[in-house]
Amino acid sequence: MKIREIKKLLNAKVLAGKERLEMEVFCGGASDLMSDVLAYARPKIVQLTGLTTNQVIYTCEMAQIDVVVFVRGKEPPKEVIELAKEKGFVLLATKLPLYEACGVLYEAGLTGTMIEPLKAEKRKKK
Amino acid sequence: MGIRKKIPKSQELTYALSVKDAMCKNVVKVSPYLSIKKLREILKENAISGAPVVEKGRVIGVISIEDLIKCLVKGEITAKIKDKMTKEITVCHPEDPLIKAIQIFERTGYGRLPVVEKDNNKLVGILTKSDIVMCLFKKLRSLYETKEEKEDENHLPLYSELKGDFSFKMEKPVEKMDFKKAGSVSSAFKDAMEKFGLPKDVVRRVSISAYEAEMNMVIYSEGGTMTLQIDPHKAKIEANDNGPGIDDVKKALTPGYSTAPDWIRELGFGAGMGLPNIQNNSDKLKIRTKKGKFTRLSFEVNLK
Repeated sequence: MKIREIKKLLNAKVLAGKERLEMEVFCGGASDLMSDVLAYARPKIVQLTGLTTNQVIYTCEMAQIDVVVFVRGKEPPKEVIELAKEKGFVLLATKLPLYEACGVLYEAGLTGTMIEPLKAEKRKKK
Repeated sequence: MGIRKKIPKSQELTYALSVKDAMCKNVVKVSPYLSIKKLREILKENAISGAPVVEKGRVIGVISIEDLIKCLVKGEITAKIKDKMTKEITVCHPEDPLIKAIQIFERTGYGRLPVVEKDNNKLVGILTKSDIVMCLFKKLRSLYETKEEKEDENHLPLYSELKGDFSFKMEKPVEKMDFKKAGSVSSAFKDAMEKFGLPKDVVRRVSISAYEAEMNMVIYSEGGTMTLQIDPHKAKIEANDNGPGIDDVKKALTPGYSTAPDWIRELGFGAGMGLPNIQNNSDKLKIRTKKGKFTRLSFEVNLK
């Protein structure tokens, strides 16, 4: 799914990375727990979170995620946006709460990182 | 099982792409009541060889430069377009696969196809053979470019060009409770590993683990130093802090076990996944700790 579509679906504001809206992401993940992000992270996913600290940017950088959506109308402080710009991130902000934002994207066909392997495993068992 | 015949990419694309990807949206259309003379000016002005004839938004015919020439020969330059146009027209729809339009071109020999919406016949574009060629060309070029980018990534990494034994070392201090800078050490390590050209997967595993270790040090310890070491076979991280030590290492390695206070959890940490994440991402993990003195954590990720 293109970031432009995500922006449209979530009626989101672009905080950084305007020039990269045509980029594609393949999965999504959502968590406020940064260690969880590191546990499920795959490259090329979009990360949804309610957390707005520097650590979101660093965490995502380590996990090779560079698209972040802040939920529930939160916007990170200026220095966080600057850090993200420096590292070439795309940052979006939506008014939707975490659960609903995830639901909208999932319904539009953007699944998570674990569901496909899980399905494959189930098929094997059958 | 038979061997499937390999279809050329350009042909495959004619099935995957639809008419709307290739069509020209700014259509020059003409009214049926214009004269052939006026048509000549319009075609010349826009450098086109034909146009759909539209009345009240609907396509009622197509007029081309051939029709114009016939009129010129017969001296019928003042005739109206509606009397000279081709009335039996073939159209296509924006959702049609390109291959359908190509087949129409082949069958009929037409130079252009008006593109109309399926339900209301409204004109939305026009498709010529050259539009199709341009569209395929653009698509193939973008496919080629993304392929080229991928190949770039496969270039021989720096570390494999360095012959024999080498060792790269980088050491950085980590400050206690400095949440502004927390993560910057791992970020610098990641940068270094990328410059070294280590495989992406290795970079990811090492930097995730380094970050967890760094956060642990910021949150729980008195501060210390972290070291990245790259040699021909592995990437290694050492995190040495100045206490207070881990009470129960076995418990700390259990996923979900955490001693973090609420305010740490509000920052998004303390999920009890730090050490387990490091363990999952590394090939070798060592923890030495002495109560009240130090914790020395080291882990390695193999390069092959």
